[in-house]
Amino acid sequence: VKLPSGNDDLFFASLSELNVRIRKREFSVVELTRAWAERLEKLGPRYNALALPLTEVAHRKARQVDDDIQHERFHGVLQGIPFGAKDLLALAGHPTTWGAKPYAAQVFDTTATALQRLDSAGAVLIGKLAMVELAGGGGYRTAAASLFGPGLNPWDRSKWSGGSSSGPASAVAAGLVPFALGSETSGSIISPSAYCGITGLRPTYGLVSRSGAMALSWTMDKIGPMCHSAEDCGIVLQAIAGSDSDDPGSAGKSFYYTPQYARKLSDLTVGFSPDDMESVEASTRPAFEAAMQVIRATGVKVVEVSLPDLPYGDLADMIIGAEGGSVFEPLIVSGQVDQLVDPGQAAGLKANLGIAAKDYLRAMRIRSVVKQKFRELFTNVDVLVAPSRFNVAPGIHDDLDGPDPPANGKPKGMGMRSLIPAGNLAGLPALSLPCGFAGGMPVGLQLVGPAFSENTLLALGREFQEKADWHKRRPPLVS
Amino acid sequence: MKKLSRRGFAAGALGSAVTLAAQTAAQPADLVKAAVDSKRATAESLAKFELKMSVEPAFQFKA
Repeated sequence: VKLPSGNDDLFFASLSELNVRIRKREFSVVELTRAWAERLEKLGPRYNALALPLTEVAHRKARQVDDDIQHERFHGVLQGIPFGAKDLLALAGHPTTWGAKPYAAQVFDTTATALQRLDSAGAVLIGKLAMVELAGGGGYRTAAASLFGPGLNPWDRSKWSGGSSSGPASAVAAGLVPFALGSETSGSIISPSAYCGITGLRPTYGLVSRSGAMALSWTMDKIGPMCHSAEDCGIVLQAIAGSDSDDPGSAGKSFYYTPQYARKLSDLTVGFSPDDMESVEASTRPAFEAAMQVIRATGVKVVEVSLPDLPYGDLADMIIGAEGGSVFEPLIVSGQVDQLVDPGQAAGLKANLGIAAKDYLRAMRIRSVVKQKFRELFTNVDVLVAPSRFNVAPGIHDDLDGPDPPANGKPKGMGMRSLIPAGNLAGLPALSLPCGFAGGMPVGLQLVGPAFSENTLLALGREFQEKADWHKRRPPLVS
Repeated sequence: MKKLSRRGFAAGALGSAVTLAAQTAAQPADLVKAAVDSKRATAESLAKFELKMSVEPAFQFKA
């Protein structure tokens, strides 16, 4: 059986549908892998999304999986499904660049735990995907801050894909991989997912092993799935989550995606800040207002909340800066840091090395207050909902350090503008859902819950996507 | 390529940003100075946050 050529529907199919069609022998895993790998190699460079094609490795794996299926050795929904991984995850024997020129020839002899787990599930890695250099640890000012060039948004290639998981977001949005692994320290899954119109899940800190992943901030780094739907995110998270003695931050917990046992949505209280609707870029407001109507239509109770007034941005800067400065000390003192594309990022890393211990420790003590305040907040609400980003994707030549989009009107409070650093400081899970368009560009809504509440977020996300089809929209492909 | 010492950075961050910038010939001096100034401003802002003595950092050593 040959895979139909030019069949775009297949490239946007859900993971469950792909698995069913594999099991029905509509196509072999080798055929499926060949089709996806050719597509990724052909179209990936158009979005600067491809770091390293792994066609030969993928075909070897695909043949093994076909043999397993032939002998009815089934491993679950991901068996035979191609995927891509952000190039900060090590794959033994192959370059892992961390998106940065000084590490362009770096090769590890071990494979990241998350990739090992997907391999065990029968998934087929077809390529490493591009990223912002060093995941932006020095603070980057330009979309071009990557060994692979600026991440180009499939919805409009003059716009940025977002970062630092730029390649995973573009590749999933354009249907070049069925799903991808990204990482987030403070926004690197949620932001590009929103800008590219895909569904991204940032897991609770410690739920997914970071072993074999580039470290930027030991206390804040997370690995998570970037997919077309909440359902797909749940399936991938189940495969990659779990205890790992090789990760000192491991929570020692597994995750089972069990939508059938999720809490009734009518029992959920969702916190929302009307101030956010006044803070968003004007063009995006109709989309966010429409999305909130869909949230209400799921049956949840919506109440007004505001984030506790704490210096989230400063805390994240200080903690990531201090930990990242230590991680990259050899790069900085060797002078190789100056090989980075963005001189602003190189300067930031140099400055990070001078952060005083007392300032880092103070930030980590205030972070304890952040955790406590969120514990209190979640005694009154089950989920927080807010725009993932308050604007659409900026242009690839825009200064990313530029001023925020002007607030429209005068918000009374801080709303949830700082939910990305706040949620990351507290180690909380977040799910970004495509929720409409502004000027032809996607916007996203994020759901944030208490630690290890992924099933609740996914249940609400799934119902949201049952009622609205923004996650099924496809960007215009350049062919 | 010019080597940069950690002590030099620490001195720059905590004391004279001008000294630090002078060591980084490969880097536009104003960018490094701006980054150092930004870190200092962040630290000063966080220093104003009132903390009880009993609050411990948000990490634990596990034996």
